[in-house]
Amino acid sequence: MSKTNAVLIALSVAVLAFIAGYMVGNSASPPGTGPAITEEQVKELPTVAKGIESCPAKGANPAKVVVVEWTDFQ
Amino acid sequence: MNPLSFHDKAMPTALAVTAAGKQGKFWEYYHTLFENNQALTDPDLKKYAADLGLNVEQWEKDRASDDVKKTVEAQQAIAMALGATGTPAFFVNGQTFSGAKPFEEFKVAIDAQLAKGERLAARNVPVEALHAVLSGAAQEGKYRAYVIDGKTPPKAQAAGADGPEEPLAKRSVEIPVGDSPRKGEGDKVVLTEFSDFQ
Repeated sequence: MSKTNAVLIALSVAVLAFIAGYMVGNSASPPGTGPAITEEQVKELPTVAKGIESCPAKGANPAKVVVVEWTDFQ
Repeated sequence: MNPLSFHDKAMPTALAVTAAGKQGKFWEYYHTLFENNQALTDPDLKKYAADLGLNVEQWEKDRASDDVKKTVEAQQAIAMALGATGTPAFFVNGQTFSGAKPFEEFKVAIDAQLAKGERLAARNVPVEALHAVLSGAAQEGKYRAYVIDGKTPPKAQAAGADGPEEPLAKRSVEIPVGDSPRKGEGDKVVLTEFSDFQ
């Protein structure tokens, strides 16, 4: 193998390694994914929205999505 | 409710509908107001209470009570603390939507929240905790503090709290227009427009 070929191969490997590293680095877990949380951690999670607990509400409770509206009449 | 100071019917209707809620008819009264939003005088409000079968005498006492006023002011204070200075204002798991928005915008936001909720559920996060978890960072933690944890926000600055705020339309405001494009002669009346194309 000539010296030029060795250099080209080394450069190619370096570039491929950089691209592979970049791709891995950008395929991190999306928000909300990760390991399961423990029962202890679950116990610490707030399960009631105390600030609006007594406000009129419609729909399922608990709900995956909560829409809070502030409104008035003119 | 978030009765804005420059909506003259806002506070009376907020008190009226909250008082109706004490008799279990918040939504019925709310929808009646919505359907009759051009008829919101005091006699109108009383008529709606009677039409819905409320105990009108009790309703009258309630809407004039400190209890109902404080309930409205507490809701208003949270809105103000979250920067919801206009109506309507929505928070979808803490994500802010100011003003009336098309259905599609809500659908996109709700679908995104549902997807995040699914991922969290796969990590054993219970559904009753999703609201808190997904809104945790909203409003730099203010949503979590005031809506989820129930901390008391600073007192509302709008009407009904510390007296009516002067409407923006009546206030003198300095606007640094600089070298902005302009038309016309003289300066007795200056109309400044902020605009965009959609």
